[in-house]
Amino acid sequence: MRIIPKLVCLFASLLLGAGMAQDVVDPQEATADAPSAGRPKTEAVPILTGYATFVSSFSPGEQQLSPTVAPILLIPFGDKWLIEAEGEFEGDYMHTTGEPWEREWEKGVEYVQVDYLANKYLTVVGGRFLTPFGIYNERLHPSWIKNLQTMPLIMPLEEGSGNGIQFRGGVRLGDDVNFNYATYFSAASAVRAFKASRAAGFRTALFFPRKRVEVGVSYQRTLQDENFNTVGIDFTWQPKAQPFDFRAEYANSELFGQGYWLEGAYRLRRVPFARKFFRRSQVIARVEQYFVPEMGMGGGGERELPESDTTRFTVGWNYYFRDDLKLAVAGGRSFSTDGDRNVESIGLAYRFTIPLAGGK
Amino acid sequence: MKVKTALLLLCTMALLASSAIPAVAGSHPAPKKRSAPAAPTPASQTDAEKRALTADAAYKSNCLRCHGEPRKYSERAMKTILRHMRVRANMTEEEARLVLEYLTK
Ligand code: HEC
Repeated sequence: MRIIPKLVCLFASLLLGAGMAQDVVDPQEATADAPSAGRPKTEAVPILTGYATFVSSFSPGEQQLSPTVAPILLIPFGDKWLIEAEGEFEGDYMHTTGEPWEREWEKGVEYVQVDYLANKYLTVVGGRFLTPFGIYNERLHPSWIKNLQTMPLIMPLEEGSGNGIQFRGGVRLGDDVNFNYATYFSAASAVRAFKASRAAGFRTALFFPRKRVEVGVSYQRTLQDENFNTVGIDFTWQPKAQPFDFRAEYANSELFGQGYWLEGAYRLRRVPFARKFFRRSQVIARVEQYFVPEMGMGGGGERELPESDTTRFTVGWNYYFRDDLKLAVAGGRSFSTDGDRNVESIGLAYRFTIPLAGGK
Repeated sequence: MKVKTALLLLCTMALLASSAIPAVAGSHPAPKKRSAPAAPTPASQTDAEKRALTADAAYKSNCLRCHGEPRKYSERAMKTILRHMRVRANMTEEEARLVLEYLTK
């Protein structure tokens, strides 16, 4: 692996560069954590957070139960460092009519990373991380966040986690434009809990805070036995006037095919009767398609992609008991040359967040 | 060959990140006339930034982008969370600072 020494060099030179860049940065600009004038400085504390989910899904002749627990530990150091780690334990209990239950538990390390906030414009991340390709993998996949518990068909095109290094950050470019970027290099690993491909890539995006619109493009070059490119585009829009979220993503992998998903979610805050009930309710609709590649891996090999071109419609309803506990019900139908299929699911998703040191 | 290309890509991005961007940001257009004091001192720039995007707007446009409205925690916990979210969402330093003040005041 002659790549490792090179990476170490790169990392070292970057830290040096970051140090120098910091001198350029206005010394009066406090870091995000610095105390504001007149207030005593308080230290950031470690936090145990994460989520627990219980989802049951049904399709004709088949029932599946998937309990998941994903604890996350956040440990801050000084003003500029954060260690974050997430483990995931996922059960899969399957039952086909007339057959006994089959069960399997998978555990994996989603990420274990050190974040160094080098300066205003650059954060260096080292370790195992969620690949910053598109929006679903890094931002939406936790069960308490995602609007529909079934993941989009094209999700396996976005490499889940990588082992290596990232440079990322956000910069205000103008009155209503922020530019943000995340670029990464990952080494291959076959170790089960740390599985990753050798790959390099980036996502860059423009975020318009007032319009609440973000548009991103992603690129990844996978450098495994076969080298191939994956490109992606993502879009997020939350109009100010309505409690509506719109998200969409397109991804195209040379080897594994292409597809997109479009999802709208509407929080029923404005219904004039049964207010308490409707305010906590959200309705969701998703349309998505996946196309197998003409050449390459139809069905995606180990990537759990459909075997043939598939179109799927899903609608759902979420009920938020609290900001951190929701009931999620969804139903969908998928159409493909292999046959059409209905899938219904019901689940509970809970996020816990426990500061590990006292009060203020 | 391919690895070199990838490394080159990374180096270019890194260089961009640590040197070019500060230069761009440094050349921000001067704050608008109506409230700009004579000299564009660092303090006035911070004021301008605050005007441009108030803490409340920064909170709403940033913290509701990926997930529902999170509850408030103690100031010390909020600091950790904001650091986590700043990295995850690639928030700008100014926004992260504004939101932290907003959520802990
Ligand atoms: C880019 C998307 C994104 C944005 C923007 C965002 N969050 Fe998050 N947030 C996440 C994700 C993803 C997680 C879950 C982390 C995980 O599971 O690895 C999370 C987790 C949290 C948690 C649980 C504790 C923790 O740190 O994991 C809190 C509280 C939170 N966010 C608050 C906020 C606040 C406050 C803001 C505004 C500054 C914000 N979030 C903006 C994506 C985002």
